[in-house]
Amino acid sequence: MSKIILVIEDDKIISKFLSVALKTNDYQYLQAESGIEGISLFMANNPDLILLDLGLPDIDGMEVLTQIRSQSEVPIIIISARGREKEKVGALDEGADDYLTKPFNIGELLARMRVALRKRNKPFDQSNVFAMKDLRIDFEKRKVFVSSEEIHLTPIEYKIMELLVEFQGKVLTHSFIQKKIWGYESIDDFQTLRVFMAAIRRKIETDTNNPQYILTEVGIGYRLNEE
Amino acid sequence: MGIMIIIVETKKLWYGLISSLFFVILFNFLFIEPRYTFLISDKNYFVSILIFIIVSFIISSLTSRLQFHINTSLQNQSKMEMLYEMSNRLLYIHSVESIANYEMKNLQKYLNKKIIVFLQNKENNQSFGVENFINVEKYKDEINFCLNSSKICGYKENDFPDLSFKIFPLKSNKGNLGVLLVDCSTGNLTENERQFILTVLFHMDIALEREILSEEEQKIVVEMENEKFKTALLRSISHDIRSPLTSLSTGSSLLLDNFDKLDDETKKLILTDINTETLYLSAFVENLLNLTKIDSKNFVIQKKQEVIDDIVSEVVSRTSKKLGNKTLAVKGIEEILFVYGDAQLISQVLVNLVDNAIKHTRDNTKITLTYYQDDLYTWFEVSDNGGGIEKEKIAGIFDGLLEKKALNPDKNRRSGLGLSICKGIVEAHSGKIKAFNNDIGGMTVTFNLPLKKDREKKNE
Repeated sequence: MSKIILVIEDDKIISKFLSVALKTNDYQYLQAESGIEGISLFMANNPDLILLDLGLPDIDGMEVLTQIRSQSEVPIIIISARGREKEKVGALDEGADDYLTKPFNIGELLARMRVALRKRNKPFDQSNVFAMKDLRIDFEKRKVFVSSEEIHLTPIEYKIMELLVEFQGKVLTHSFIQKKIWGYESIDDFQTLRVFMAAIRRKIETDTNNPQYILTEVGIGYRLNEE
Repeated sequence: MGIMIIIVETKKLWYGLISSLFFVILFNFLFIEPRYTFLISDKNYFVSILIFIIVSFIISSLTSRLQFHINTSLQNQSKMEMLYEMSNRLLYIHSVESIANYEMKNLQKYLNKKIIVFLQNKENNQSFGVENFINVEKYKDEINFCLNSSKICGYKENDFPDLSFKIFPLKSNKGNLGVLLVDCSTGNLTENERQFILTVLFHMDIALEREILSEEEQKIVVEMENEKFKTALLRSISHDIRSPLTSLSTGSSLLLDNFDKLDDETKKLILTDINTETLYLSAFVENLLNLTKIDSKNFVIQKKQEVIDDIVSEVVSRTSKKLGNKTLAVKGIEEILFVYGDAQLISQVLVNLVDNAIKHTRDNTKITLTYYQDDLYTWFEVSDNGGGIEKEKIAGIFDGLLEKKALNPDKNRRSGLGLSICKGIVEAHSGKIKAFNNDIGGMTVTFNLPLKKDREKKNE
């Protein structure tokens, strides 16, 4: 059965394009032009994923996000023309799964949608071995390998890797990682976190300037690559 | 004689009086018949002793008064010296902050009381003090009253006598500047000290007013520059947006009107062009947004310590698609380095520079991005070996907007905006940017950004 996608977007041309793209990729498509309509369609249809525009005519997109989040864990991808980091971080911290800034391309959107949908199907299993390209993490033995050579990570570095794998493909904000790893707010603008990330990169990436695994979302956070 | 010596030495009137009595009694004891008793046999002696006493009283009071005058004039002299020194120093101090700080420290030293100088202006309030003995913000009403009435308020004054400190108004003929607060919990001020403070305040008013005037003047100059920049910018934007829009509208209407007549190959070609133009436009909009970020008055650059790796990798990923047959290499340092600034803006600078190097060079050009740090700056450098630029153009390369007028605008699709934005961003970070032809047959653009200062580190 094809997945139901709810699009909450007031721009008619964009939603037309989206509907074409979604239909050709075998998704079922529901469209709401306002926040209220969006919320009621969400209640009635139980969609598998929501694409949400933050700039809506009736209520603020963030409001829609918090309302839906308070009732459901359904993946939500924000599509917005608001490009400021603060808003992205805000939306992600409020529980959005991903964030795309207009203009975006459809290929990118579909890729992010696949990530978000897969997350829902496949809960993270700690006993598994995670493998991607040359990187392999054995969670049972708590060991990390690059090109079958063991890499030594400090406990905190390992915890961060674990977190990134758990949310592979999703942007994790600085404050999210900070809270998960250290359990308290950052007092140094996430400087410590940045140093740890840079250190992990130096250990697992072959070219730190063109990273294959850990991608930086400047001003927002980090994401573990998908392919 | 002895009395005078004692008074001069002890500097107290009372000592003089007591010692004169003592001398009289001693004289009586030693020299007046009958000797070695306090008895006086001759009536004449009574008179002379009385005279003695009176004379010595007069002498002692005269001497002590003289002494007092010497003291005050000494005090006055040191006060004058200090004032002179202060007003002299003030001539060489610039910026409102340092004036306030300097005066505060001097007064504190002289009065031996805690002092806060509190400056108010439209944008913000600042207080200066070695230690803030009170929270100034709590006493807004009192301070405003003091400023509006131009009276000294606070401790034992007519207004607000219950406060533990005194408030002195700081005014210039252009309006209120702020107040000076003197902690009186260790005792009231003497009339002298009060006068002294008023004199100092007068000096300070003048100095502050001078500073404020010159700051305003500078602001006007900057604003004029900004205006010029904005006009040039608008002119250039309208061109840079209009031409891709033209290709978009002609391309799409061509497709729409002749959809059945065109073969698939041509359709695809037109669509590719449309796609390229939209990408160009969206990059352009990105640049514009960043420009408003550095240009708007209210926006203060959010400087943070950012790992250079993060920025460089962002630049690499944003430019790699456009490289074609050209290459981009990064030369950095193994160490984890921090750059102090807004990560997005800094990567925008680098993206623009690399983009530029891609667009305006020969095929197969090698582009290199280098970064390093010295004691003061983080340095970035983008260089290529793809042909360089004519010498005459180098000087104006960052004023691309102006350069544009000289060239035929239709011939030149290049946006002068990119490099002007680079310059704007770097300068907003208090850095410098320059371009030159390098010795590998291409152009190099290098810029530096100051490291985070220790002072700023401590403040956090």
